[in-house]
Amino acid sequence: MPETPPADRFAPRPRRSILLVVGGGIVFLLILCALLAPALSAWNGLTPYDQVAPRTVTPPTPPDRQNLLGTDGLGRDQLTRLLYGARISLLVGIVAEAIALLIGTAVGALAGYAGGRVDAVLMRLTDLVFAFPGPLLALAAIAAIPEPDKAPFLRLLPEPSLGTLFLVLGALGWAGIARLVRAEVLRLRSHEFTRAAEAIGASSSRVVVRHLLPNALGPIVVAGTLGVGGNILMEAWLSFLGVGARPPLPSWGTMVTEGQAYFLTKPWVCVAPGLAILIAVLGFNLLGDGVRDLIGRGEAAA
Amino acid sequence: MSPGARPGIKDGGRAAALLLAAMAVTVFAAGLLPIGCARTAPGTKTEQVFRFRLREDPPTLDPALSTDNLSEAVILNLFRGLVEMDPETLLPRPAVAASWTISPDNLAYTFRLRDDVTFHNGRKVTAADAEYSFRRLLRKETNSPRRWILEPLAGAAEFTEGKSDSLPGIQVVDDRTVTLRLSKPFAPFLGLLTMTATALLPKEIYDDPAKAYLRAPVGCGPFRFSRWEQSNFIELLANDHFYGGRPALDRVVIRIIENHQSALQEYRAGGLDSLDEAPSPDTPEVYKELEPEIKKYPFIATGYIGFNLGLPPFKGNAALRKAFNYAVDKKYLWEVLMPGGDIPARGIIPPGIPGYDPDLPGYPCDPEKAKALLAEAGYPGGRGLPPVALWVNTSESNRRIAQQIQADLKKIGVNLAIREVDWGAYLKAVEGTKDTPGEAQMFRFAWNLDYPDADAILRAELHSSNIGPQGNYFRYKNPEFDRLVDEALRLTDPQARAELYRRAERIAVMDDAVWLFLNYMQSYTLFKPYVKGIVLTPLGEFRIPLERLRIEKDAA
Repeated sequence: MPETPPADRFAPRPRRSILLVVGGGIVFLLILCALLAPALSAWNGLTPYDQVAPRTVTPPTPPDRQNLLGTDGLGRDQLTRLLYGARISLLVGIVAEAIALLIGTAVGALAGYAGGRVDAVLMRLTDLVFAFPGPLLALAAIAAIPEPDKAPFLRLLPEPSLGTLFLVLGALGWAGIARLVRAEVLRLRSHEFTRAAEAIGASSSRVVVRHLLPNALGPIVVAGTLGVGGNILMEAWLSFLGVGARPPLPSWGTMVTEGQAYFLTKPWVCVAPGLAILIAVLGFNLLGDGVRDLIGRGEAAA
Repeated sequence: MSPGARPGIKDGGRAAALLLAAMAVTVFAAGLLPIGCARTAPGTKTEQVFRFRLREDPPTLDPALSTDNLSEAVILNLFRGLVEMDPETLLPRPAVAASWTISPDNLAYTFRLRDDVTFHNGRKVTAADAEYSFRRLLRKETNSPRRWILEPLAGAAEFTEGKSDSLPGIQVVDDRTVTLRLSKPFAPFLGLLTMTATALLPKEIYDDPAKAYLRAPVGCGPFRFSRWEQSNFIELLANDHFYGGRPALDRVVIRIIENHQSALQEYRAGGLDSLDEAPSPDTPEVYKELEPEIKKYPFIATGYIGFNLGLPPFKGNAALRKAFNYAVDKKYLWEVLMPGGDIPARGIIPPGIPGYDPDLPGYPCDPEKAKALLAEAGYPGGRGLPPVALWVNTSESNRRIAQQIQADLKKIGVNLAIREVDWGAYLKAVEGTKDTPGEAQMFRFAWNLDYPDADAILRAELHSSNIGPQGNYFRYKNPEFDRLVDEALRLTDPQARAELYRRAERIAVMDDAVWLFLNYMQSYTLFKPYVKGIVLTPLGEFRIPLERLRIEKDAA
């Protein structure tokens, strides 16, 4: 079998670039919804906490012209809550992933570049984090973190229960990134440009920050994008269990929990936020896959 | 989900916490046999069987040890005491004792026993059995959580502590006469004696060191014990020699079905004749189908949100507590949001209890008044108010109610956090200790009355002598309130007592707003139409007397 000429690796692959377009489109719309939530719900001037169903009718009420997606169990407009829910999902997804990237990159680069004992210790630590079942570790971590009203550092955040989520998801998500970055650093270390930089006397930190990491950026971006989707799912799951975002915050996961009581008779209450979670996670996954294909290092980021 | 939207509930007195599980009431049903098939003895009519559901196995069938309504549901049918409670009037009435007299100083109660009462083992019941059973309840080794019922007896404390083997409070006069002597007058004493813990027990069975009676209880009630298959069913048979006449039912099958949905399906399929949980109006089809079979009736329990008066910001700030009361729309909560549910409450004493005050103004929803009071409390528009959290135990309906209250308070500018924790942690945060307040600032709770007397809620929950885990979690202390409740205990005239309780309630409600008053609870029970002779009672669905039931099916 003839070997594929190197140039072909960057040849356009139309089927896969659809991923990029669809994924990018979904994520773009999601960000738009989150940013414009107040404006989009301004036509009826609602906040996600306003009860709109009349106090003579038992909520949830079905979709109508006033409430396009109906109201929830407390008579609040579902669409408004979904739009604001996008803010929570994106915020948790992105901030937690940023924390994970920061920790993961630092650990991975240090381990890969320093090697030896430092490498061994850091990688065993990474294995340790990997060995725990993520969701269970998240539950335990949330239980261990003091209630927001007792932890002053959490009270500084605009919404304390989200602060807990940032920390927990960020602290659990870095292990994969660390392995990835270490592998990249090990690979790039032996390249001539690294050797050249070292030969002219560049310090270790300069080599890592200026030469190694920029060249490893592709796989890191891909892993980060996929990680955002994972975080959104985890946030929804934790909120579904009642340990994530606190009521009355309109987290999608909380909305599914509250809606499941009506699953058989008033399905819109839980189907709408369920679909929102599905679409958001799908969007980030497609975008991640698309970016991976674009930069052609699928294997490294998988 | 039961439409009852029950918060965690604890029974009164010093008894251990009523099992949360026991909250979900039972089902009573009649009809086909669940086990085996209907046998028709030659020459007799069809066997009468009644099948109802318990959510779990009863924790115990020893009357002295039970404190929960699952155990009581079984015990009540196997045992009888000297007196029993009339399920409709809630007044003590004769049971094994045919009559009684009370001495003019209200200290000595003399009971005259019936001549025709036998235990299920055939032995005749005498006054000595009362003495044995009461001594057993008080004895330290029995370790009964309901020992306090007999603590008013003269010499009870010394006897329990083992300082004395004699118990001057109980005197057997002759085979059919026993006198109980109190150390000081205690008006609700006769009512306390109706509790199942004081049931009469045969010494020859209950002195068994192997405790075989735990699996094969023997009493003198309308039904006798047949068998108990753990987590499956308990079977009772009619007591042919019951002094009140043989029950119409030949057999009672108590099926243990944990899941509410499964039980509901079983009821619809004809495998149960009664069910303690009605379908939720959230499932309209099922609700409509079964609506004619739902019996709805008051239950002597009051639901509320307790304020912790030992912690800021509620400590010493009645205006703030009143503001919260006016802010929450109780009518909407119970009539629209949780429909088919309980009755919006105005105060503490639930309807049906002497002392219930139909003219109590309470706190009808009025956001403007609430805002004015909030400003008066020192937090105009909610500004300056420290973080306040409402604690609830984990449940779907609790979450819904808590969020509604959160939304109502938001309208007057108060940002309320919600803390949802499991029952054990919840109780701990609520109760605190005798000296230190619990951690919860506000908490949803309900109290069901151990005996149908306002004393069972006003004293148990709000008297300053009960501060701490005993019931006054709010650490409420008002000398005038204490005085009225104490004085009511010394009186015997029901009218005068009720008046004192009404005055005490007004102090706690209108002056001190010690709770955020939410709901008077209701019972919901499904009965198949062929079940007749149902006596609905505010004591709850477990206390519907089975000996009065009969099955009337068309001969098919």
